[in-house]
This record gives sequence, structure tokens and C-alpha cells, in this order.
Amino acid sequence: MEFDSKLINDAVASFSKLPSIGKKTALRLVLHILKQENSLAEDLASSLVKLKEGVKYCTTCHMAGDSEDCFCKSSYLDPSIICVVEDIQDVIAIKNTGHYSGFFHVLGGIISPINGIGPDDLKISSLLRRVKESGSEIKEVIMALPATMEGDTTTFYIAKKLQGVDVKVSSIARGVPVGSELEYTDEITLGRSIMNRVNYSVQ
Amino acid sequence: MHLKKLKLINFKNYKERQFEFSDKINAIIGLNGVGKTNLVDAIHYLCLTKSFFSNTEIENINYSESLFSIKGNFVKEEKENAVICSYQKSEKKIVQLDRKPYKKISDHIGQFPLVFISPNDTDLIRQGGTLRRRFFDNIISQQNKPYFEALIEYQKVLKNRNTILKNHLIIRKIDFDLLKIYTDQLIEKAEKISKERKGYVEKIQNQVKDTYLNFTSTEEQPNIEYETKKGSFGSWKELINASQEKDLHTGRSNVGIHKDDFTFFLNQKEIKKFGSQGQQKSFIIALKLGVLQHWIMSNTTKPILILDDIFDRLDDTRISKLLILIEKLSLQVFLTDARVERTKHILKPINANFIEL
Repeated sequence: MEFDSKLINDAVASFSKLPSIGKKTALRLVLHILKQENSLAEDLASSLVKLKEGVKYCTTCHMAGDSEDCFCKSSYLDPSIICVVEDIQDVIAIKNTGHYSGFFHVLGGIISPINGIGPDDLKISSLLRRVKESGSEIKEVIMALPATMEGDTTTFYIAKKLQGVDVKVSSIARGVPVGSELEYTDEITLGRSIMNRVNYSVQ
Repeated sequence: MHLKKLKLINFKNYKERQFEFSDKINAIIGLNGVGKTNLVDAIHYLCLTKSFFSNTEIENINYSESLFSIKGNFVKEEKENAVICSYQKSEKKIVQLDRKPYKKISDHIGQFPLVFISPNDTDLIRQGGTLRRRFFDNIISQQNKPYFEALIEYQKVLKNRNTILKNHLIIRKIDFDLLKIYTDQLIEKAEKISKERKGYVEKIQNQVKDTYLNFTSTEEQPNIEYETKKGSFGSWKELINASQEKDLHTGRSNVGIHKDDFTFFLNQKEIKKFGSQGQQKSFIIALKLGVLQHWIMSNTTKPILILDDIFDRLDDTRISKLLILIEKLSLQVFLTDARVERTKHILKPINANFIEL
């Protein structure tokens, strides 16, 4: 897809660098912006520049925010638990469950040597330091990583590095999604949920 | 299970063509180069989501076109299923079952099983271990889903482990905790896989023997041996752990089930070295039919059998014995042959459906 206009070509090329945006979608977005009021383009451009310049990463939990005063500094959080996630969107997902009120730690990825990501490329050492330096105030580390081999490897790795530290390491449960039928659940998930079944008690 | 209808668009030498098949024996006949093998290869593709012959998808597209699609209507346990495989240049291939695309194409493997016998099969005896591992993995995976999953996971772990070992060669640094995790995962999967491989070979041994004797009417005794380094050591755990020093020096994993092999014997002599061409051919046919018989005994879905161009390589007595064996199995068969008159003559006693290309 080539146009006579170099300006359009350049804009399309920039948009199609974004994840899940192909050339066709990029062109649709570019032509849409072209048709709208000037203010749309101006707002878009300035908010993007401000975003990149303004957003700060917390030095403790590596969450993104407007200032270095991250929400992890607030006093209403339960300081005894810390939830380890792969990326920023996972923090939002877990917060939205309404069932978690502890700290977070964003790794910024998972271990995958084939893709060139080793433990040193992630925020693992800062996690270990954080747990050790809390002076046993942190009682539990909850691993909430993807249910893939890479996720499991990363969980194993961190658990291994925390051996000998007085802290409990747990991992979120894997199993049948709420509200779904058993017959539609894939065999591996169902197999896992049978292996890790939960005791039922009637009070 | 059988394939009722097939529609090809731009697959290999086909532009657009439809076929209907019998659920018994289908004889595909025609001169060289009309597309007999391509037709059965399309059936292989539908069942196993890849061509038996070509390694890249581009080779499967009709020259000068940009996409191909294969659509098949299977009948399985009295229900009809439509499978569509399609590929467009520089896009991902799509496999659909009843109009629903698979999220993981590997989920399709095993649903519509197939055994393919072709003249190049003696490569399985003569060439390296990769081919033999692929053959057994392919057959076991179609019947045993956990085996297939373990195999995929093993490959992933192996790649990751090799990457950090290789990096160690370059930067002289390695995270031993991470290496240990990959080593443990490798051991766990290796135990599982080699147990299944060993068990499978034991299970088909008798069927292969019977078929060979039946087929050749000789007293020769065939035998398959599963060869794994584990044998001399006792456990993968000891073996893989013991190899760590060497692995660090060479930058890759030197032991594991990716080095396993299967050796074929006739009267205790290795067929690869001592077998005549005729013995090799007969052994391969017996091996594949033995696999097929074991399959039928242990599974509810009967596979499709493809015999591509094998009449040329056999004498008349063996051909008629082969046909008797096949008829007994009562499954859907596709066979190809270039000599129309001969095939019609051979198949006279059997009620076959002829497809002339």
C-alpha cells in the first residue's frame, strides 16, 4: 500500500508499529484523524508526548503512575502480602477483583531465554531485596503469573530464590472458570483442578 | 471413521476440484503427474494439518496463486464433521472444525487419525534417528494426548535450556538456579516420554511380527528395539544431571529423549545394515500395518489408511496378501497406482471405488 502523499505514508507507518494494528487499520485511523477537527490531532499528539514524558515508574513496585508517590506507599494497604505479576494491566485486573488489598510487584515480563529474556532483565532482584529488607513484615508472596510453562518457570525461579527467607510463597489457583460447564473445559485445566482440588467443609 | 467428500482449491496441481469417496477401498488411478499423490496428500493434510511431503506451506499452493484450501467432510461415529485447512501467503494457516477455527492447531491431531504408507518409507530404516523418532511420536501422539503435550513441553524446555547453555559459552555466565529448574523440567518430561515410547514398542511388537510372517510367509523374525541412553543408567535424573559439566562445555543438552532411537531387526540382525531391499520394504509395510492393527484394537475410531504407489514395489503374491490383510481390517483405504489395467485386475475380487484422474 503506497500513496502519493508522503505525509500519509509516514503516519500509516507509525500507526502500524503499534501492537495489533495492521496496515489497513492504520490507514483507517489516519484518514479518520484527517477528516476530524484539528483539535483531535492536537490533543492526541500532546497527550502522547505528555504520557511519555510524564509517567513515572515506582522504584519499589515498578507500577506506572503520575508521580513517584505510588499507591503502594498508601497506608490502607495490607503490608503483609505482596502479589507478583507480569505486567501493569495485571495489577488493574487483580485490583478490580476487590479481593486483594496488599502490595504489588510488577516484573515487567517473564523468564524466556528463547526470546532473550533472562532473570536479570526482570525486576526479580528488587523483589527479593524488598522481601528480605521488610524484616519479616511481608508474610506471603502470591505469584500471579500466566498459566504457561514460562510463567511456571518464573514462579519456580522466584520460589527458589526465596528459599531460606521466612516468607510463605503461594501461587494463584488454576481451574474451571466460574459460570462455565465442565464439559467445555479443556482437559489440562480440568486435570489440574482435579489434582489441586479443594476440601469441602459443611459447618 | 471415513472421509465422504473432499474439495480442493489451489492445492498443489489442483485448481478447483471435488471428490466423493466410498467408505471402503478407493483406488485412485491415472498417468504420472496427474495428481494422484497430491490427492492423498490433501487427505493427510486434513487429518494431520500438514503435508506428508513438503516442508513449507508455500510449496502446497498452486503455482501463481496466493492461497489454498482443503475442505473435507468426515463421518465419525455416525456424525458428520467438516474440516477446513487453509493457508494464505505470509499469513498463519487456519484449521477449522465445523466452521470453528482451532485456537491451537495441535488440538486437531488425533481427532481424524491416519496411517500413510509410501514408497519412500524405507528411508525410515536407512536414514537417521530423527525420522524414526518422528514416526513413532506421530503415531503415539495421535492416540495419546498427554504424550503429545509432554512432547511439546519437552521441546520448549530443551530450547530454553540450550539457549542459556549457549549464552554461557559466549558470556561465561550462567544462572545455576535457572539451569536447575530447566534440568528438573527436562527430567520430568523425559521420564514420561520414554516410559510411553517403551510401552508402545512392547505393545506393537507382536502385531508387527504376525503381520510380517503373514505377509511374507517366511520364518524370519522381526523385532523392534527402543534404544535410549537411559537403559545403562537407570534413571534420566542421574543421566541428565551427570551430563551437566559436558553440557556447560558444549553449550547444549547432550542427553535426553531427543537422542533416542528405534532399531529394527530381522533374525537378530539389524535391517539397516543386513536387510535386502525386499526385506526392508516388507518390514516397513508390516510395521505400519502392525501399528494400524494395534490401533484398531485399542481405540474406537478407526484410522484412514493410505497406500501411495506401493504396488510397483511388490510381487503379485505379496500384493494379494496385502489386500487380504487390508480387507480384514475393514477401514477406509485410499490407494494410488499409475497402471490402470493392472490395478483393475488386482482389485477385481474386491469391490473398490475407482477414481480416474
